[in-house]
Amino acid sequence: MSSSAIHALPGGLALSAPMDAHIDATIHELDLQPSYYLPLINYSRTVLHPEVKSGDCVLGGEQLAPGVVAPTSGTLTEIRQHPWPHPSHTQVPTLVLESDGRDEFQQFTVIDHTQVGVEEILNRLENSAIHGLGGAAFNTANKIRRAYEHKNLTLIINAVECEPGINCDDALMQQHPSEVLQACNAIRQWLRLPSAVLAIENDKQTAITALRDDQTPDLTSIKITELPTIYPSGAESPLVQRLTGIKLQPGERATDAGVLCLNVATVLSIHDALMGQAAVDRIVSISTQSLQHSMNLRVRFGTPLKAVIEFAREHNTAIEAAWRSNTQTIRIGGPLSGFAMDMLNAPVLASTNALIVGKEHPLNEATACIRCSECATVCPVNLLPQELYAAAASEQLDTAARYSLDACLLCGCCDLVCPASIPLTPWFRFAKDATRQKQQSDAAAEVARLLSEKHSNRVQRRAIEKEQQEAARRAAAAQRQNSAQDIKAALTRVKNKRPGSGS
Amino acid sequence: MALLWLLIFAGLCYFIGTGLARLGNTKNHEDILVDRINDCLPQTQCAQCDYPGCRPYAEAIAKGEAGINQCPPGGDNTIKALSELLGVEVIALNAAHGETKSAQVALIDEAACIGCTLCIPPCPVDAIVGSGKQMHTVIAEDCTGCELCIAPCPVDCIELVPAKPAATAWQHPAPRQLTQHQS
Amino acid sequence: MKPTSIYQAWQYPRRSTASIMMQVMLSLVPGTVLMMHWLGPGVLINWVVLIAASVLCEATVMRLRQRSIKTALNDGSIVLAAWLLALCIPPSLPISQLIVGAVTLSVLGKHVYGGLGQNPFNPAMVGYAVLLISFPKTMTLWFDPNLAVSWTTPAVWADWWNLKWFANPSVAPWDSITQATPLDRLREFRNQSASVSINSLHTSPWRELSVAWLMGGVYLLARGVIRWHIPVAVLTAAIIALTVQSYLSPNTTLPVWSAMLYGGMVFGAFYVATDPVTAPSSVRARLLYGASIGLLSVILRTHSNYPEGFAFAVLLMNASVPLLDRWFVLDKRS
Ligand code: SF4
Ligand code: SF4
Ligand code: SF4
Ligand code: SF4
Ligand code: SF4
Repeated sequence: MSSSAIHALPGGLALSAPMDAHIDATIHELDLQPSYYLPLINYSRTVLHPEVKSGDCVLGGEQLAPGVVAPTSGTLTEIRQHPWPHPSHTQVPTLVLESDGRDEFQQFTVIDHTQVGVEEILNRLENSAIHGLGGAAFNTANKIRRAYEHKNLTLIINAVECEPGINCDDALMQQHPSEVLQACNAIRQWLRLPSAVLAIENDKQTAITALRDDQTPDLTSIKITELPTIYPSGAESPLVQRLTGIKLQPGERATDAGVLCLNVATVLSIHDALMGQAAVDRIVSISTQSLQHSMNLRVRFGTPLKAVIEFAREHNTAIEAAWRSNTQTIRIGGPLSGFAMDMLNAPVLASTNALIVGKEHPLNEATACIRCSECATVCPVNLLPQELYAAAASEQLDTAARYSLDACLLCGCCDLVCPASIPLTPWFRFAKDATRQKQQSDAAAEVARLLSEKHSNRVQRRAIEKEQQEAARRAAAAQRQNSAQDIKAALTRVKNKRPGSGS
Repeated sequence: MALLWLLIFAGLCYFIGTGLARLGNTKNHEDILVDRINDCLPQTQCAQCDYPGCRPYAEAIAKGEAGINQCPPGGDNTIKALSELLGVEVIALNAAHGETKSAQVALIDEAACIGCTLCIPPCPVDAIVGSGKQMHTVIAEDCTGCELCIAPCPVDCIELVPAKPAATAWQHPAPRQLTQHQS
Repeated sequence: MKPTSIYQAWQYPRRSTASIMMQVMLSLVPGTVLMMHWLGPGVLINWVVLIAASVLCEATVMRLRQRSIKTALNDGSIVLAAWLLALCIPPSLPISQLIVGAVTLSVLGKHVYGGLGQNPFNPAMVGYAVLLISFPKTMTLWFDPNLAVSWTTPAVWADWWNLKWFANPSVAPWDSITQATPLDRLREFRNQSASVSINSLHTSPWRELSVAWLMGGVYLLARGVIRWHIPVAVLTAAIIALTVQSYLSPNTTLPVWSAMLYGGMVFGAFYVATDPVTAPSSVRARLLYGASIGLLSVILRTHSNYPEGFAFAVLLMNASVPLLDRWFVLDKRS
């Protein structure tokens, strides 16, 4: 990144929180909870196998399953079906950790990145279960591993936080600017890069000032780049495009193009992990549905949502009022990317970046698409939502794929502008899931086809072999019989030739 | 002169044509059709279609002996795919063959299994492993959930369980009720 | 759980289909009033009858298709289509023919393809084209605006009544002074190889009306109801084509600006070609679509049997929209 030129985004919407919003950027701390709930499932919905059993005593930071670490010390009382923060509203096997109140942590060594190889560092990230905290909760070690191969790597620290109602990164940067800069710098050094870009939206002036004020001369390799406030410039492919001008192809990831985007809070937890501290919490924003009032809370993974909401209600009257007036449902995630949740004993996980308290409205019934192309105009990745919609609604998944369904960010911009109020993004979520399901079942069918071919070939071969054996046996028997007759005949002949032996 | 060119041209056409025909003929058309029909079938190999497996059913469809609506595991999706491939109309699944169920796999209660090996031969994809007098087990990744191993088991120790946990199998639903004008 | 949202909470200013249609109709009001003023009560009768008949027809069709009549009428698309058609036809068109137009517009223009959003052809132009082909005589019969305007003389109303109900122009006292639009006159001049004199064209309300449509269009652009690509492409292409033409045959053509203002070019560029349903999706396709309409309509108005080529140009380009979409859309990302 030689210049800080910002490329244009082909679409997007200028969304921002209300002008008179009261955003409480103090980071409140939530007390230690009696129990933590750790779902044994990862974000691609693969069930995980625990490396511990119920009854085990564990320390904070100890790995319990791949990608799951204990948020505090205590006893694993059971593994049971429990809700998790997912739009499916399903229950999954969940480890229940009863805290012992001592809050003791496993001791890890400090990793000096100049001394050890990359594999060791990545192992540490893997064992510390570092996940992206931007909302998608990807596996950070895997992401860095993919990017590490690249010669001309660009490091982008994503502090854009473009969706209104999410301000946890903002709070983090306002409260801990020097830690943020130090951590960014450490990662940069570890990746042996001359510089890195910290991208932030220009509506976060307090955070920008805090960062700039704290930027000592040795930290100038972190370039703070302000972006215009346009949703969704914080999503990976628009961000890469804005900062580097590289347009990712459908299905291509930023790391494939040599760009590593790490969320700012993730960078901090990577840093913690390398410094030997367990990264077991995240900051969660809690807002009222009008986005007028917002507060931030540091929450350990596994904390039930209920505890978070209760804390927020106690400390913020506006949130209390919003809670009382609503149907006791909350929204997990932002106003556009999130989903409604009514199982409040589900835990907070790495992806839980924001909670919104307020009444959810059923979507309006849609009218016909008038092909006005407003949706295409705002699509940040240049798709044609109206065509995708036509394909998805008629379940023509191949056609949807041709219109690059893959590249859709599910950002919801198209929904917001559609004059026919068509639920475009819900259709795209459906089509994406259906496509994945179809690919999986096609692959399974292919395996089954080959196996069954093998099976039937073998059965056939066996049958043929059996027949041949049978034939051979019959032939042999026949021969035996023949030869027996021959002998008999010969004997008879011999008998007849020996008159003396006759009567 | 013109006649000569015409002859040369015709000759060329003939050679290229036969060449192409050869190339295309590594498999005869019948087989290609059967393959393509077979690709639409779910490969559960359950024989509910009244044929001993998916490929025999595909052969029967290719010959025009069987309808496209006899495969319960494939359900509506298979019928749709077949109707597109063969250019025939979409029809409802013939209920006489069974109902569409969600994906399942066989699970052997290993404590109860007596190791009689009776379940092994019927398995169309060789998903059961175990030898005489030993506990048997199902390779879940290979099992298609065809149910053919259930009946032979003398101690009824095989049951079918959902292939994926509910959270994994869940899909975002189609918001159809909101877009009803799209019939 | 069903999909829900909290959008209502902070209201992104979404525009509904109905409000878009309302905006368009609003921008049509001044021009429509001027047209009624200049061309007489016939325009008002056209307007009322066409809209009423189209709405009725739409409701009947929706009933037959067992769909919700309310949702179909709520979006206002049928009223707008009928309104647009009402602005394209001569004031003297008999009511029976108006009803043919309304039925064509609703059934042939929209519902045979599955209703709003599915129709490949602009319904108003389908109605216009069918009327023009079926009733060439009445469809090209325009009165001298200066004689037909009287709104107050009872005798004139009676004549209108006769004319509209009995489709008999001979009963009208002004049948001997019927005249054509400027473009018709131009065609006559051209056929006689005479040179054009602007004063003999009776340009009067046409030019002013075009200005009214232009202002309505600018209003729509300013409100973001339509985007600039199509109208600008249509007008630019038409201007270029007319300029070339005036160089090639300076005697039989009008000055470019007059030629732009005397026909339906401005109206079409802003109100017909921009119909979102029948226009392509991507920006580049829209530019090409607009330019082709501009060019085609100049060619058609010069070389076809009809004085105005806009409707046919739009219909022709409507037919090629799937092709344009395919060209420009699928390679959009690569
Ligand atoms: S915004 Fe809505 S109505 Fe307009 S083209 Fe897109 S989907 Fe169709
Ligand atoms: S949800 Fe997908 S299609 Fe809609 S605007 Fe966002 S990226 Fe484009
Ligand atoms: S019914 Fe069973 S055997 Fe027959 S085609 Fe379907 S899956 Fe294959
Ligand atoms: S294990 Fe049983 S259910 Fe599974 S494929 Fe084999 S026979 Fe069918
Ligand atoms: S048939 Fe039943 S008892 Fe016999 S080996 Fe199979 S599972 Fe075990």
